[in-house]
Amino acid sequence: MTTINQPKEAWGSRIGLVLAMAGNAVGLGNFLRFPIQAVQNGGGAFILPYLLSFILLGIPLLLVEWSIGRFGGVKGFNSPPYILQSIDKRKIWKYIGVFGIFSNIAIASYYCYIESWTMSYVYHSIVGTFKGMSETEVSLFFDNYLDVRYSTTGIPYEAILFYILCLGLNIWILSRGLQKGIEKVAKIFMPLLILFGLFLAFKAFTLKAGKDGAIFDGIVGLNFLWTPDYSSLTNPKVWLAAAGQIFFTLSLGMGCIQCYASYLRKNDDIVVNSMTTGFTNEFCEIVIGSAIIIPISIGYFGIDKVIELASFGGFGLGFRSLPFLFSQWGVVMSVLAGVAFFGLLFFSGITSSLAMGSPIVAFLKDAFGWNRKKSSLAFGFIILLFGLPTVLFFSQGVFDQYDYWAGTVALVLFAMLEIILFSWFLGVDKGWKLIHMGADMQMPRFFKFVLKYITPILLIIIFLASLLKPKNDDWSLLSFKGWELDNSSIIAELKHQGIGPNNKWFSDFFYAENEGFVDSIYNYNHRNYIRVSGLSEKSYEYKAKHQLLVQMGDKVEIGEKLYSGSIINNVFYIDMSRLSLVLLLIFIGILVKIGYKNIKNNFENSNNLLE
Amino acid sequence: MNTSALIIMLSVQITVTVIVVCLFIKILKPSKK
Repeated sequence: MTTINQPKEAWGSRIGLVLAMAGNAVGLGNFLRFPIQAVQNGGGAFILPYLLSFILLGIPLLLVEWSIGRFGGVKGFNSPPYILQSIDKRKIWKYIGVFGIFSNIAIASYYCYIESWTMSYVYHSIVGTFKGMSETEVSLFFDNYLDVRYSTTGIPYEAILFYILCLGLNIWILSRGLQKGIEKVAKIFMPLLILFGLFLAFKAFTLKAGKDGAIFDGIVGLNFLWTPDYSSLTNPKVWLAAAGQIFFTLSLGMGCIQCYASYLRKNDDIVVNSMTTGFTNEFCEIVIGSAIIIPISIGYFGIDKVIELASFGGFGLGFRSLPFLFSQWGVVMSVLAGVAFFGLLFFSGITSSLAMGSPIVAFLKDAFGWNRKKSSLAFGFIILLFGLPTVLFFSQGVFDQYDYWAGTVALVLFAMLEIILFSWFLGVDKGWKLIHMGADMQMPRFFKFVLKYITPILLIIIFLASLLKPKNDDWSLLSFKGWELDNSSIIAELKHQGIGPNNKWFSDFFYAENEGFVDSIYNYNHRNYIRVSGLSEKSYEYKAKHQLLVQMGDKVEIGEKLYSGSIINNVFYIDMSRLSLVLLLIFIGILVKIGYKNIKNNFENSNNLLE
Repeated sequence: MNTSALIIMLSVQITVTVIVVCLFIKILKPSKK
């Protein structure tokens, strides 16, 4: 059928491949997202839909992505557009593969930023920045860190500096190649990550009430996290949350797995290798991830406060609270714990961002014949171009937009289309043979049925659910007469449903977004704020050039004018980030088309290779 | 600790750990191919 070429680059060892793949999957979400999801979705009962999702969604998609990747790699391609094109001759597939480049650029742009926070927090843990700080001061430190205009640590433009440092490290490792760069890093960082995780889990487990300022034993947190609320299992929200968690934790639908797998040899095992990476990720999530932030936080704050803090997500707990808690453990232990926790996050982050860079580097090689150094530098430039807006306009919502469209919607869409390609266009029989080519272990035949029907249906359900999610994730609202959409559903996002009264790009007035009384007009860290407190509390930033239209004690309604002047609303930044993502998608599509022509022109047997 | 929480936690964590260890042993053993 085709000319079989051995890929030019290949993994140096099986363990290196598995650790690099596991590093791709194990990310910040294992330690910051999973425990929060478990707490919010039924505790110990959450594990049932979670494991079921792993079997019905995670394992099949791992097998599909690994085998698609190896299939394309054997034909000489390492980037998702041409890997997908090598499976089916219809030209549309290489354009669907565009998502495998697009998502990685958009996600890496903000992911490298988060990674740089962890790098910076390792530094601050070592130099003792958090020593003697109160809980509020540690929390405010994070806000100040994100405000790139003013430095409170003495390092000018600290957030940007660490971001560029982090990106530079990624570029350097990528440019060193597969074996000397990615594989070597995985072999060092992954064991360290597990070691740091086990150390922190041990510390959390042995936390004793009355010692080091703790008010509860660490066991209380574990008990809280694992106590099952079986009634939650009747709620579709819990099942969708479990499916979503499995999907994101395994880095599915991104194109990274296909890219890494494309460096396998024709008869390299897929079944055992993919299962090992999948279960290593589960080990890091279920065993280590569940044993750190919740037990430690509950040990100091108690259950009620942690429930409240958890409602803001894992980042709040991780960056705003844990440095303060570690500082209670004495001089030496606080440094060790800070380095271990943020080092663990950094290792999990960098092994994932390297995986995101790989499809881009591979694409430039496939399409334009660029070498690794040149492609790695190009990757760095693109990420800097798209990443700086997330750093500079973080509080205006650019970061969230990238995360929503590229980090959530595009992944589900891509995975849905690739499983359809594999099971229905390539055919599940052919696909099954592909999975087992050179395998050391046979998968149960039950998975053949799952691959053909269950996984595609589940992905379609997940996609439809994110499209039409009802208000407050309350699925009992579903009705043939229609229902009110949640602000986070795709349709509501597109309609700017939750944007509030400041819904124009430019305006002469800024309107209140909550109702209550003006209870504070204050200046903090060179910034001016008006705080409106009522049923909810919200602080609005205004600039010195703006004219205040309210006074202390005034009652304000939603939509009432707070200040006047020349105002650029957040919706402008939101729309600009959406526009840049759309332009990026189109731009990659054009590059894929040009690259396809180059491949056809450059290789004598290109027709064989591509069709 | 609540018994049902303890049973769920230990059974899931031990199962996952045993599977990971077995898979790594399989990987580190030279292939018969």
